[in-house]
Amino acid sequence: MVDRVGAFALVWGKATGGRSVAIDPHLKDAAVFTVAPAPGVQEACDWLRRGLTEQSSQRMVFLVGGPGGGKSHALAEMTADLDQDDAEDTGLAQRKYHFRFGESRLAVVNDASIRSADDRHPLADDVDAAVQASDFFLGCVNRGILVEEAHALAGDSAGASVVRWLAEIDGGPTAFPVERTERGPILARTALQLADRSVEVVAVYVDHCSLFELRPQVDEELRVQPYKIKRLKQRSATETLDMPAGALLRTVVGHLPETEKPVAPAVDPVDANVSSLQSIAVQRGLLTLLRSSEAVSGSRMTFREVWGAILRALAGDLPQDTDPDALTSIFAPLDPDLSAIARFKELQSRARFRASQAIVGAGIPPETCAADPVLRMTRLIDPVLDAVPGSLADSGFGWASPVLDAFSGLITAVSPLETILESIADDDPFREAVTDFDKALDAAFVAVTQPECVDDRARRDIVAWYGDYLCRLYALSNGVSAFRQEVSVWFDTRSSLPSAVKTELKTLLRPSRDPNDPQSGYVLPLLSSRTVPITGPSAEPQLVLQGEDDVQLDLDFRGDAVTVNMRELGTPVGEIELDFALIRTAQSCASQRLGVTEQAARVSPRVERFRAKRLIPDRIADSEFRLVAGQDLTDIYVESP
Amino acid sequence: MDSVYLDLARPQYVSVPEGFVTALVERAFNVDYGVDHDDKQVPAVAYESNAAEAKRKTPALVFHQTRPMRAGLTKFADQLAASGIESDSDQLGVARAVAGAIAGVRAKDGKVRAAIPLTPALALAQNPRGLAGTRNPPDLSGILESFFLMGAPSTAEGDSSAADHWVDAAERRRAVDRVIHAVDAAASSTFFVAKPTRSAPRPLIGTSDQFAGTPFSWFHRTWVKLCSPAWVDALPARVWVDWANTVLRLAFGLGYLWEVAWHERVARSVVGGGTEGAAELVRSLGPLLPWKDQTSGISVRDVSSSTKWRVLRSNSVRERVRDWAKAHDDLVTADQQLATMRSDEQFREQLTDALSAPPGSNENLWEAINYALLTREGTGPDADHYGFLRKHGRRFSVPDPGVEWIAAVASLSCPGPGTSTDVGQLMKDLRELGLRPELGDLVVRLEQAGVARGSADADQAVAIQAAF
Repeated sequence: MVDRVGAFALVWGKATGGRSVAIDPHLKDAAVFTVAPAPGVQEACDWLRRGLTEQSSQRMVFLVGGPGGGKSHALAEMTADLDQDDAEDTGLAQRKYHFRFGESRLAVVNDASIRSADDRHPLADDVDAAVQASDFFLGCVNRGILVEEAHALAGDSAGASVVRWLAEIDGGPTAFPVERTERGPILARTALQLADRSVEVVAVYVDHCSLFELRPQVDEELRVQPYKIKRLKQRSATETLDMPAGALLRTVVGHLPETEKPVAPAVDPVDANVSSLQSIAVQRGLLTLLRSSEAVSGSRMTFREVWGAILRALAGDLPQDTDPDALTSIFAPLDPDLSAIARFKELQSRARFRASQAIVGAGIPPETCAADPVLRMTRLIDPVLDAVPGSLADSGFGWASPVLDAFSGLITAVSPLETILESIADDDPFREAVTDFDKALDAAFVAVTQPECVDDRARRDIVAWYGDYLCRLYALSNGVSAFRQEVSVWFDTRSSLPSAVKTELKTLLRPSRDPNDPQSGYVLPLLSSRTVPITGPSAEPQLVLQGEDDVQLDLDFRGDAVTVNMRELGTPVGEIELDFALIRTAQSCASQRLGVTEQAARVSPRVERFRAKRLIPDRIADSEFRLVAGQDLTDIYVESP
Repeated sequence: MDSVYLDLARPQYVSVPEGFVTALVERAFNVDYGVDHDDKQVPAVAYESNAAEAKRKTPALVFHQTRPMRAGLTKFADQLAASGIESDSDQLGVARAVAGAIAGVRAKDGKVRAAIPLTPALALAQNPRGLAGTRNPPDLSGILESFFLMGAPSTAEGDSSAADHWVDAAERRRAVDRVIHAVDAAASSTFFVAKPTRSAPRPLIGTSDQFAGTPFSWFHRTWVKLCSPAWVDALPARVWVDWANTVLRLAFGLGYLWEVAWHERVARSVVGGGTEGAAELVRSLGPLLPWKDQTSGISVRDVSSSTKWRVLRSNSVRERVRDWAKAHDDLVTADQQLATMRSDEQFREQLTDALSAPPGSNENLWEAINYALLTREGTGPDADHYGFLRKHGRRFSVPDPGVEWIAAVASLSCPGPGTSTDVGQLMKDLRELGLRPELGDLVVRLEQAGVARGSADADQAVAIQAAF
């Protein structure tokens, strides 16, 4: 039996804000968790290593992306069995290392952001040094550094050419050209031409793909399969091991169950989390929830946030302010003589560490959530924000009825948890999420809501809290986020545009003048400071442009990002990013009427600019103009000069 | 640099944003409004005035409105038809619609309203006297042209002035936009006795690189870019005007703040026994307005009290530097002046006094700067979406640019319409303006404006896509 504290200690520091979120080649202890790097990373490192061992022509690999993308982990993995040439363990991560393999040498820039204040382009200098020494090269670099260095470069050198190529900045004529460039969203490669030879250069963009999607396959020749985004409904049957984050979650969780049991497992939320997360279905639910948070927040989790989310699901925010030693004493057995109210309060307090509560920051002040790298994303999809009645078995987007129905009868009569378990399907993942901790909490709830224990007001508060608790637990196990319908549309539109969404987008982007008459036309005031279409009678006469009724929408895809292009009679008239905010606003439009959501501030400027683009000179050249006065719309003839 | 003293005209606040373009364009045209007046009077023209202003008479001014009304509206309707905008059923309605559409923002408690300067005729539908309500308003055109010349690199010698750039852009707009073409022609025939004629161009003479990296160089580069055919063709007419006003407001407000900071920097260097040359002093100027993160408290973000105090105090420093420079006009470079100033013990004492003196009376300068940068109306039909500062209560003003301000300034950091740049470049441009926002705060604002999408810790590489 493995020591429980020791097992947790290995992952404890990986929580956001933890001590071992970054790694350098000396830190081997976490290598066990480097199971599924971002697509292309492993393959590019293998390609580099083959060159090193086979003494091929010189090769360079750059892992490009922000901190937490798994670059240093991949580097540590790749160099694990190589001899360090200039070993000097200072206990701190250094910028550059050298490793030797036979006659070949590998230069490694572990972190290009480590640099002296007066050296403005050290990466280019490192590349120059490697070119001069014919060293193979592996560099970890973020785009900020690349852009900064590329702008600071003054002269011409091999390093300058490579840095400019990486930053995609044209430096003009050079004595060190790059040729045969193939640039894809996940991987790019080129050949740096020197006077006497060429150097193969590969860049892997580690953050192009979500870590919650299936890894696109990359073959030995570094050819990359396209990145595909799974629809929401497909996720309940997706192999999580094929997702980088899923593989990591399974490895971390798989590392914990063989440990010794805590002193009071039935009232230990951390043990309950470990137990729930043993279920692949619950793991899938958590991964879907996290992916949904990416969709809603419009941002992407790196491995650093994934680690933070996993640790949060395992132990809440305990790792942020306590040592793993605390696990031995923090969740002591409950005194059997405790009153019903005291027992419930104690379990309620412990419940904040439960995965379903902790992952969305339940009970944590909004300003604290906003400052936390994980919660700033996950709090947006807290399932209780939008608990839609209905059943997951139905075709709609409702899901919360099993929980809502459990509270519809006489509260004190039966256990809500048992009611839910009786009503759901045999294969509902909720069954696998429920633990002894939840049963103890449920029993405490039933006891405390008896009439003699608390007054009505206190009972209402307890019922509300416990209802939310069960909602979140049920939602987590089934991968249900808030705004499930809009999130589902977000996933759908990553590959195509459903006709219903098309109609809603047309209403949002081009509302009809008379909402009751879809044929009443789309009219835009010509000279107003805000480009707001007229959607009703106009008090003052206005000169307007009338758009064509026949418009087409199509999509452009760039990773997770999708742009909607609109054409009138085949002519482009505007484009706008189809993110969650736009989808949610479009979904609020109904029956040709514009809707408003909490996303208005985020969406309005973009929608207005989209409409304004209809008024640029090229696009109004052949347009028709009208005079709007009250309800009347009359023709205006405008001659060409 | 010829002199450490910047001989800039003293400004007054500009009552409506359209006043900047009007002032700039006025010098590029000869215009006759057909207003009767005696020899001692001059016409003060506004597009629209409130009742009291319209009836006002002074020995020096004749007030005149150009907004077509009653018989004028009928004439305007006829001219619109003759120029190519015609309705079979309601030509007067067309005239009313156009007259309403070209009316600019109504300033709170403002007496006058300008026409939106979409074309030369509309820019001239008012004049600086009419907007200021005085016979001798500050020479705003001269001020803007001075700033433009200061910011022009030496390679721009002989190029067009700011006004000429605008006029060329407006000509292009008329050529590519048939509605604008017709409105301009109708306005010309209605507002003036004869179509305004263009004055001789005034090419830039005396350019240098001495103000590189200042609001002046930002102004020159951005104005030339905005007036280029690419941007004229890419922007809707109204957006182009709004962006032009935004550039002029920023150049004006931050240009004068730079002047304040410059004279203060010179004084501190002289008093403190510094050894820097003028070029080094230019580079060493700090931010002109502190721009704190949105999450900080209002009192921390407030810039009004510190900036107002600095501006009010600046006059005494400026006057001492001016008087000294006048008395030493044999010194022909700023570096010679600095060296001599540093050895002039009496002058150093004067500057020490000036730097520690209580704030003097310099309200006009403060108002000119503050109103150029302040968001006028926050909401409603006359909302100002292009302000940089926002008032919080009576005491505080904080940097809180409107979403359209962000969209305009960020887009003009891009090489051209439809292209992209990165936050690093935008921050460099903002530094030139004397603004140093925090990276995270700027990225959030760019995302809110819909021109950028932050990627995982891309730092300054976050891509910005031009709004048009």
